Amino acid sequence: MNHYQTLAFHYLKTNKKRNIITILGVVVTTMVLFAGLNLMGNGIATRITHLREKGDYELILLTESRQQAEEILQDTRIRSAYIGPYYLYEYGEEQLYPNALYVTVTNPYRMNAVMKQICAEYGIIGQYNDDLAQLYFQGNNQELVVIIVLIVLLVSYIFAIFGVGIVRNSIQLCALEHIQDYGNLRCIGASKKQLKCVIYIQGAILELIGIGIGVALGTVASMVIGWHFQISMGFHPLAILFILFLFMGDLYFTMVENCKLIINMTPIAAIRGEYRIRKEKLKLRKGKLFEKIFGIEGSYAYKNLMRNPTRFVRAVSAMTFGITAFIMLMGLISSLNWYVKKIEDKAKYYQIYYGSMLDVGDTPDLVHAALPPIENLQEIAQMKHITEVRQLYSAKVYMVDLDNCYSKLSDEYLQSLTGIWSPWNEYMYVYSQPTDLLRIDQLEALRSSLAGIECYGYGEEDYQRYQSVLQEGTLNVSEHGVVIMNRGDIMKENEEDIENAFWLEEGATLVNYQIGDTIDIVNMKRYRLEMTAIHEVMAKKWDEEVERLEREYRDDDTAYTNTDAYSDLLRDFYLEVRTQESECWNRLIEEGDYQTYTIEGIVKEDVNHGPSSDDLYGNVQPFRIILPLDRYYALTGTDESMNTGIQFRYERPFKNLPFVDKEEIDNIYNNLYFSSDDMTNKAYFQYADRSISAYLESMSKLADMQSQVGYAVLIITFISIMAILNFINTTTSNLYLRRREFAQLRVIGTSKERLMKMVIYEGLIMTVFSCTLGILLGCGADVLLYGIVNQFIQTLGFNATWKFHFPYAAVIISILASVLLFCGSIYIPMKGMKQDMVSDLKTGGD
Amino acid sequence: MDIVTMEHVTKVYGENDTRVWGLHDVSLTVQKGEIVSVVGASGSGKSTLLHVMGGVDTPTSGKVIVDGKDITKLNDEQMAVFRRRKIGFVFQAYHLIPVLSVEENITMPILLDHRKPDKAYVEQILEMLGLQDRRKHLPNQLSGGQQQRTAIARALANRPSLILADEPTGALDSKNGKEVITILQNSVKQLDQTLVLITHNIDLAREADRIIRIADGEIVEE
Repeated sequence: MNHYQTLAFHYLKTNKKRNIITILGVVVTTMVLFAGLNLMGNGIATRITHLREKGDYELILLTESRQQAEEILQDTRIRSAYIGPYYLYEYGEEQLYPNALYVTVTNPYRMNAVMKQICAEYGIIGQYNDDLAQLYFQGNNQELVVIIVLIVLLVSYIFAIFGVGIVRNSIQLCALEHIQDYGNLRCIGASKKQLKCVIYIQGAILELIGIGIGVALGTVASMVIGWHFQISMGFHPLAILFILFLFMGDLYFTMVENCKLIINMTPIAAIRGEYRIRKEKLKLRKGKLFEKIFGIEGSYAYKNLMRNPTRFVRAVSAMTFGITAFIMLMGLISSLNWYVKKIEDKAKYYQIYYGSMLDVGDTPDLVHAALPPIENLQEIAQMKHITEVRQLYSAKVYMVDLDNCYSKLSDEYLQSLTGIWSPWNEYMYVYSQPTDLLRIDQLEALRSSLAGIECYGYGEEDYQRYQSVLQEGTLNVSEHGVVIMNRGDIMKENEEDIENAFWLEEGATLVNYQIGDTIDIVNMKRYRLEMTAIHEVMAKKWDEEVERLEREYRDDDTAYTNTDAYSDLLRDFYLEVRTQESECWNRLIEEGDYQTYTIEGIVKEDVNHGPSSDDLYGNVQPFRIILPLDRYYALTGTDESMNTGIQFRYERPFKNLPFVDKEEIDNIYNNLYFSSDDMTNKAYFQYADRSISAYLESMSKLADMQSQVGYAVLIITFISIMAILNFINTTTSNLYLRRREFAQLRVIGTSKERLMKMVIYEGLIMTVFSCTLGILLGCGADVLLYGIVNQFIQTLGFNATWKFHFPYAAVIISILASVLLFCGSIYIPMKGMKQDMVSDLKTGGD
Repeated sequence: MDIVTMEHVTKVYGENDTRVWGLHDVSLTVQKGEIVSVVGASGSGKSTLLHVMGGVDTPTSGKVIVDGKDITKLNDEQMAVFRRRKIGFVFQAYHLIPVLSVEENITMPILLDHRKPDKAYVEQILEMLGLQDRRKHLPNQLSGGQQQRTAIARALANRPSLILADEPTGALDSKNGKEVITILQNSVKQLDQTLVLITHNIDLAREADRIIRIADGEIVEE
């Protein structure tokens, strides 16, 4: 040994295992922090490059003339610049500056000051390129940047607390272990400063090794993340300097505490070992309960734990927090799981569909225009987890006997229509006041609308799927036979409970048709052909009227679509079209051009499609006819080319886990929710009606929740790892410090086995305390969580309440984990501890 | 009647060049009811002799028979039972359990033996050692003399046949030291026990029935 400071290395070598755990703690902290900072730094650099590629300027100086611009160009504060036009928008007015100077300053971190100076010197005004300026903490948004920087600093400081805290504990234990040495050193003339120096060196060595390895691993981690997300990654040495500054600064202040420990000790007190138990803090404890449960070992264990109540409370609190967080997290995951199952149950076979309903007067072109472009659909079809793609066929067919149909509607279906718009409501309202002439017109116009029911055609495989929900009759219908679906979801009202006034009742009976009942349906082919011709005429007329309105309002600020004239036009056309439809419908009936169909099968639910986005929020599902494709074509007067939508089967990856591939779901969503000009242009005075499954929307919301849970898991895991490492480290060292006490017990007749039992009971008591508290708090938090999740579910229109269930799995895992941690961290070092009574009695723990 | 018999006991620490003889072919006997003083210079092997005799340390070779039982053949569990039932240790540094009260420290060996403490006997010991008023005190609330008396009380608690005292007066002033020795002598007589005492104080040593002088791990005078 050449220098007294080398003592630090000697002391570090005395407990290699503990120091390895300590370094590991620092490594984990630094790795996560450096990876985060490196990614952030790289993100900023990439963004700067991207913004400079778009326009390499930081300021725009609005010079009055080219001459002035050229004069400013000579300024040394400007690195480069170019002259170009700039439109300044102020108070709704636009002003052109043809000779604006687009400037890059010499020091972008001083661009605020530079602009202020130049503007003042030349009497001009300037603008920031704010997107770029904020990345240099300049410009108009610098407050926002300051807030972000403060958040980064705060998060980094929290990391530093963890990274330095573990070193502090380790060095504190090391100082206690060698306190007699420090006393000896003081006796032989070491100054307080010299002893402090030894302590600081130990802390710095552990911290620097940890930071070094952490930075290396953090670089690798950020490269892997960058590679995964296809971000070009760099290495930011500034992040290392920042970490060094933060960690070493924190270390300096925390080490003061450790230094106090040794310098406040008199040499003789250290030599006598009087530091170990602070006399004023030790209290007589009873521990009768634990004596009754665990015997004398339990009583001793309790008393031992209580010799340092702060440590006991800290350890139990940390574990309680961990268990509470874990149970809550498991509750969240289980809610996600429940939610996924609920969505999948509701989504049925083709979870994703996009369809329109072919109505009379709709041409296949109009219906197809409502669908996303073929390229989008092809892109969806080729996605990894899309396993089946089918065309969707649906059309409205029109019944003959309206009164008969009305008599078949169930009471609860009719009641559910109260308060919402539906043709039936309109019909009933107008019917009750026949004196109003206009309303009589409307009534007549609405009659055919009411007669329309939905009809779906399926390929053999999809059609046979209804076998599982066949309530009565058969699916093998005759030439003039149909299958109906008589149940659906309806809105119900609860007058007593204002907060939950409406709810969705699933599977309510909509119509009271029986097997053998008949339905007359007009000749749909003829009806469609005649109505298509009428629609064409009406469309031309509409175009002319709209053109006239456009001309009228061209010089006015008001858009013609916002005028009363446009509303009147729209209403008149709507009424006209409905009137024409009704007239045509009446003509067909009068001419006897309809067919009688017999109900030969009744199914109770749709096995192929779940609710649409609109249905989730309370739309009432009408009853419908279901047929094999060939029968569908015959009844609706359509053919194979007149498909009305598309449906996809999606095999969710990791089916048994509540996992959603957000990227894929969003990709499908974006491809489906595509609006083209055709959708509106071809629809004339009505938008193309489209129905989209709610699956994507629900899954997307789930994915958002999932990513929040993911972050929570990451944070809790990180905190847990740090706390566990710290706990193991402290426990192991404390046990070594208690060697003399163990030897005393052994001398008076305690066997190794019983000694182990005594110490393990300490862990067990901590487990009992923390598990009891943690499970109670965790379950309490879970109950609150259920409330929050249920509110979230209600916003999605789910008619279901997530009921509280005791989190057995989480509780069992928590108990096992705490036993493993508390008892394991005692058992392993105790097992490995060399117990020599003679030596331990003399020097145990010193 | 022999309570302790040691036959050719050797205790070696370290190996090869670092080998140190703690005890070198030691043979001795101690009679029941006898008070024996062991004296010798520092590092002569006194404490090692006591530790081996009490089953705290194991000899490298030789036999140690205490109360008719060869303790070198006992396993850890049997040795622990042997120590708590047959031996009472008193150390210079007291070695009391800091979190336990005086009374709890005294009854600890009895409780470890899965027995209920005999209250009358515990009271007798407390009275004999003048600790009645201190029974609820923690060790750190006691003076050195009181702590050592507590240690003696603990050593007597299980009515062991052999008391081994390793410099029990070493940390005490002369008055307290004298008092401790008197207590030990009295208790040995009253309870029909045997005492082996290590001391540096030749006056105290002379109060024993026999003095054993030890040097370099060997008995040089008996």
